[in-house]
Amino acid sequence: MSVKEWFARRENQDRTIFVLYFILIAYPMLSPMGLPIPIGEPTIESYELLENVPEGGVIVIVSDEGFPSWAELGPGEIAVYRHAFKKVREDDCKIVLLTSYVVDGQILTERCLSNVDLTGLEYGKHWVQLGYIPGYEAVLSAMMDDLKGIAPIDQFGTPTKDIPMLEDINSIDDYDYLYACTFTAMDVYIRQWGEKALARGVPIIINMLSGTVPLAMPYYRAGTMTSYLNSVTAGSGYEKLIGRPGMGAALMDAQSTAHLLGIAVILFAQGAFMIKLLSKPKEVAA
Amino acid sequence: MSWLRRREVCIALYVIPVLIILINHFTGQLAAAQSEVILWASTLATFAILLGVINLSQHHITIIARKSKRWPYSIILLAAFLSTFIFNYAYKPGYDFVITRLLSSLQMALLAYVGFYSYTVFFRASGTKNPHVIVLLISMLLGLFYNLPMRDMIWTGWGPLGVWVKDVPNTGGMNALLIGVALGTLTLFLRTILGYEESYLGG
Amino acid sequence: MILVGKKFELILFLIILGLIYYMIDRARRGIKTPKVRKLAALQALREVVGQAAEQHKPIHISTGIGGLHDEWAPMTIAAMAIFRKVAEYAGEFGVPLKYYCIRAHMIPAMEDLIQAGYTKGGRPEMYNSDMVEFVGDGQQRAYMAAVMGYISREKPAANIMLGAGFYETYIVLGSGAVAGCLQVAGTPRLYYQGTVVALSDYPVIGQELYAAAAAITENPPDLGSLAGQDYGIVICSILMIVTALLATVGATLWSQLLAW
Repeated sequence: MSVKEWFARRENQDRTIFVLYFILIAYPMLSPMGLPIPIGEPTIESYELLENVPEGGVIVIVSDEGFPSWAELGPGEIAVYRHAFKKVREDDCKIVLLTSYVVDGQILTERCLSNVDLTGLEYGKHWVQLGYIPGYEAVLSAMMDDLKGIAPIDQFGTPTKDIPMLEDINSIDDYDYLYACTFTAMDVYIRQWGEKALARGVPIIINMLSGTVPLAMPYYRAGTMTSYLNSVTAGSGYEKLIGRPGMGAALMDAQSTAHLLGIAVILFAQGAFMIKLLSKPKEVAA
Repeated sequence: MSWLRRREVCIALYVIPVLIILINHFTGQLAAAQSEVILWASTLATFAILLGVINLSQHHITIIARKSKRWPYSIILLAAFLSTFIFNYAYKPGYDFVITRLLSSLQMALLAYVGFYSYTVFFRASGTKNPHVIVLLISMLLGLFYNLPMRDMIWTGWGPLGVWVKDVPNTGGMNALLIGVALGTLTLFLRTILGYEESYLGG
Repeated sequence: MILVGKKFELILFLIILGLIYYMIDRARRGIKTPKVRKLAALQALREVVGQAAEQHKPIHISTGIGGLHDEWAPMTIAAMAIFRKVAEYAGEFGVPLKYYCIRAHMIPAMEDLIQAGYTKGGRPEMYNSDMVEFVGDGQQRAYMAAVMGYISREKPAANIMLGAGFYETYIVLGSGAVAGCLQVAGTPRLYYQGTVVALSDYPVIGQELYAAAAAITENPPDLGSLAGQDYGIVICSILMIVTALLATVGATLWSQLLAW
């Protein structure tokens, strides 16, 4: 069987693409190439919005990412957590952490916290973990009016009414920064938060997968969503802005090579088709 | 109790909460009632998960009892489910191991399949003379170049071009999609209130 | 009584609602039932089920990850309307169906739908509760694994995916393509149009899903609501053009209306 005949079979085409994809992702991860890391405007905007949270401000972080999206969203999430806790140390801000979509988010919150230096900080005084509250959109809506109503106990079983930090924190009137990390559609957050947050000047920043960024554009252009982070690209940029390169920087090389393969696959397939079409002898009318 | 199963009760259970939320949205009244409705929605979501657990257990216990096809896998599934459940309450290190080492790795591996399959989609979609598909391919290429971290090394114009595509045609298309979804939701709302929607009633 | 900034929104809401109601009522009273153009996927459904019967193979059906609880509910409901007909054909031809359920609340709905379909098709004894299998609430990866496993093992004759598909669209349709299934797919979600067109034999593109659901039921209220939606789109288009013109000339009428 010739190479051409072998490649003409569908399963062999798939296998070739899979093997190339694997090699082009694995190699840069094992041997980083140090390609440049761009920082987009929305990433800088997101950084500045968190940096400008006033002294004593309340930062609400909703971690709705899942395990599968950790590679894409994790770098940005960890960078935001580090930045937020820096605000806690420097400006006496408070952080409320919760999850509304899948229970993965609660576990990944713990993973993010394990990447933050919590020395000298006290749970219940500087930050609170409300854990996974099932209900998704219902939770996002309710937290704007009655946070303690939707979360009567925190992740560890302590009644929220007994947590000193939450005494004056219960609704959108008390929040200064709303951040969500999601691996699903982001318009749910805009729908439930947008109107009330916009009226009070509270910024909304969503960390999302690059596939969902196009859907976010109408909200971003309209100003309903203040800013966004575009998955690992923005995550690596955010790491650079806070001065702590991490997982994002390591993944950018693999992202570059994977994208180049995608481009090559499209150009190769279309190019081969056009050559075949042009080299076909034209049928002569009878 | 048979009156509970009447269609009118199901429709009322839909209409009353929706009206409360709408009235609150437009007038600001009934705020307390809206909070209660939303809290109940959150509670119902938890019960729905219980329904899923019951279905899962029923299905796999039946397979094991009958020794149907691939019944050993049903044992593995139920054992995994029970052990994760028990670990969560009785043995935290075990729970952490299952979640962080097993579950997250397996889930990431499965999502990686999406990447592999999306490349075969690129390959299948390419190789066409259909003008619509060619436009799709060009937009795919623009998107790939825009998201390429080293795009400026190839051509500095990819960034501004990508931003334009994202801001103009893409935003326009997405606005259209959002309007379509909103109108679909309005239609669904009206049809359910009028009793024409039977899918969720099982009819 | 109406909050500031909500009056115009309420008026627009009531106008569009009234228009949709008017079109539904008109169709229901038989005054003018809108016609839906022929859709290739719909024409092919019966043939697809028939081919599955000839091959003595099952059909895999999927509504994607969407459920009845979110903004994608209209897509799921449209898909369910089509699957009701597929279940009827399956009952008529004696073809087993398989549905993996990713939303707990969909279990009773799909069980009833499939059972009713088999009953209407004339084979109520063929239905069994194993046709609807729950794989985890919102667990997209579990769903992807279940579907990939099922399709590669059982090699169904056809793979029909309609509704609100997310990332699993690649997996469901990709697995079906590799297994050589006849594929009918459609979702109004913009991201996945390319995947649907590239991997399915009978694509249902964009809003055609709603039209297909209305056409398959031939129910006047369904057709009327489709027409109402179309007129709603016309109203929104006119508003967009007017707003763009107003913004171009620097008029503040639109901002004033939104703030009213």
